[in-house]
Amino acid sequence: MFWIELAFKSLLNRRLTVMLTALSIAFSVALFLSVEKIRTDTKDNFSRTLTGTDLVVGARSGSLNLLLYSVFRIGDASNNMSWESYQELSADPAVAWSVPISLGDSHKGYRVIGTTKAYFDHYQYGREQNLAFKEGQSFDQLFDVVIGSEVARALGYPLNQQLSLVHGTGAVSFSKHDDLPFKVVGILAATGTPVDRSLHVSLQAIEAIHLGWKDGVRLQGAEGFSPEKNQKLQTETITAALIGMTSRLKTFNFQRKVNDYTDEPLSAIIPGATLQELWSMLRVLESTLLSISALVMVSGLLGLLTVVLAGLNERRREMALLRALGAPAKHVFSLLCGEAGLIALVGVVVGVCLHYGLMVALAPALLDRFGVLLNISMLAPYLFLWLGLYVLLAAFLGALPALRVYRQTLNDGLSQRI
Amino acid sequence: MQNAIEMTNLSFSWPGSQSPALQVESFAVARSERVFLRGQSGSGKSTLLNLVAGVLDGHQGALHVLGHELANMRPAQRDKLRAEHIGYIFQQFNLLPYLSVLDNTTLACRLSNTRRQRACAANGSVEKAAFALMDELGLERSLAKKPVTALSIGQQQRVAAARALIGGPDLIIADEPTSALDTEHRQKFIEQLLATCADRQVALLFVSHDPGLRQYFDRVVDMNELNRSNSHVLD
Ligand SMILES: Nc1ncnc2c1ncn2[C@@H]1O[C@H](COP(=O)(O)OP(=O)(O)OP(=O)(O)O)[C@@H](O)[C@H]1O
Ligand SMILES: [Mg+2]
Repeated sequence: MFWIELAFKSLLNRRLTVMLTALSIAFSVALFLSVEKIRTDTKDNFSRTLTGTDLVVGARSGSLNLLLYSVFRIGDASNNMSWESYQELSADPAVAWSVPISLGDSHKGYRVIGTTKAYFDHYQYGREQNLAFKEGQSFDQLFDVVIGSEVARALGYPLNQQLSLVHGTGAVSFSKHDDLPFKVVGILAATGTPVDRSLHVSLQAIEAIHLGWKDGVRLQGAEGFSPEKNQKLQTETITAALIGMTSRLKTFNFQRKVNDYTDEPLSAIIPGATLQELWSMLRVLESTLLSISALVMVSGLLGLLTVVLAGLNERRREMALLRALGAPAKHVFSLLCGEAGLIALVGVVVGVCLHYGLMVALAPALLDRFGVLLNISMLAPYLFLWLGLYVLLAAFLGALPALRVYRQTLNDGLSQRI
Repeated sequence: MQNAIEMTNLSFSWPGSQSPALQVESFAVARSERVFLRGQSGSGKSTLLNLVAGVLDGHQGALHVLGHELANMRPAQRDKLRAEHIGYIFQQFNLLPYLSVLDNTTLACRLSNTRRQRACAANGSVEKAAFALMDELGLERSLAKKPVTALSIGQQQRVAAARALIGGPDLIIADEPTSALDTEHRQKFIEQLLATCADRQVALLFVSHDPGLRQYFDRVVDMNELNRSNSHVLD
């Protein structure tokens, strides 16, 4: 009891340096945990963006490119595929289901997808989870739109909200289709995938808003869509298609068939494999993040060592004094070790709290900006191990100078040297 | 009655040095005796005090402190002997800067139950014992709650003396406790320290360079005569 009190008062006496050290450890721990969390959750989210779909088919391009625009809605398709090819391919007996996707329009920076109702039945993410409606239902009327959770949250759109689409994908665009307002009929539940940041309309709606337009420019004198005229809305091209096979085994055969398709150049990719390929490209980033956080941890420990060493002369006198009062050398030793361990422990605990605070604060922005859905939960067991090791290492580092002082006090006796 | 300190044919060498730093044929301090030990720098005074306090290992010959042969004791037993029966006063840095005057004074009682019980038996409580010593050593009671950093050097040395004396030790070892004081404070401090030691019948082994202090002591011992090792004469 006396020793704990003494250690506590001694620490209190040096509270500024001690607090700064604990804080620097806390920051390094928080940074380490947060980087780890973002890394693992991003990886998890990422590799599960699209599951249950066996193939993604689009105009011929690199597989990463096809994946990026069709699944992540990053960049644009260089070419479209024709509706006839889509029809023909999806009629293959090996195909269980297919969902067409038509991209190219946006609303306030969020991408618009023209598709069919089948999209909501077949799009799967995570552990083969289906999309769910938080409110409303699928589109039914021509100008119905189903919005992702992030779109609803960020723009504050309720059901029945009216909105208009713009051509192109910029947040600001002058070629608006604002003569044709859409109505929100459904809001999807959050998924942590790009679906959250998309608006979904029917293929017919895409055709309707492009009547009288060509290559993103309104044609002079051409007739736009008007509901009264009952114009024919025939889809001629789509951007890509999601395909489910009747059996996984047929995937490779069908993929070859698509890649060898003679009527137009097409590509088919297996999303799982391409997602992994994409992730491995990001591995440099991943390991950079990891080494940064490791370095930060090390610098936290060095800071601790510096503080312990810097206070050593003062402490040597303290130790000589305690020895003169009859304190056993062992107590003096554990006083120094315990102190370093305690600073590290406090630093780690504060760091863990800081980490959770940071994650709670950052979660909406991460979902908003990067589509990373943070799963705020208990620390993973391996992290407990790491943190435990960290505290032990800190106590050990504290023990090194303690050992020096211990030897010196034994050797010098009670002489107070510098 | 046995002597407080008794040494015969004592010799001690620092690790790694060939010639002994200390070689004493015979030296004793009786109970309640106040001895002034003088000698030039490097003559082994502090080494001798450390041996007596039981913090330096590895002497040859006989060294009895308060009836115990230190060579026969384990380190923990020597620590206990020091905690219970010996008070130590340094030249400076005697006090823990984060404790108040009172807490510094009573520190010895917190490290040893025996000291606490003796303080309580003599004065009723540890605090009363501390106040009694403060009175005797000329420290105002209003200083008790102050941080020691607010004291003058002279006051700090008095607190150190009070801390060494609390709980009825049998031996006080003082290693140049007055060298940081000016002449006037030195006289006063030494008078009060010696009076208190005399009152409480505590043996005192006092080291100093200052020959002006010898008049206060029962006996003066010159380290040059005591220490047969001439290694110190070289430097
Ligand atoms: N920790 C140590 N390790 C090795 N040698 C030491 C150590 N401490 C002291 N010595 C040596 O022992 C000898 C006696 O030193 P000591 O400190 O006892 O002298 P002193 O009489 O107390 O001197 P001063 O009056 O300057 O305090 C010196 O030669 C010194 O170099
Ligand atoms: Mg000395």
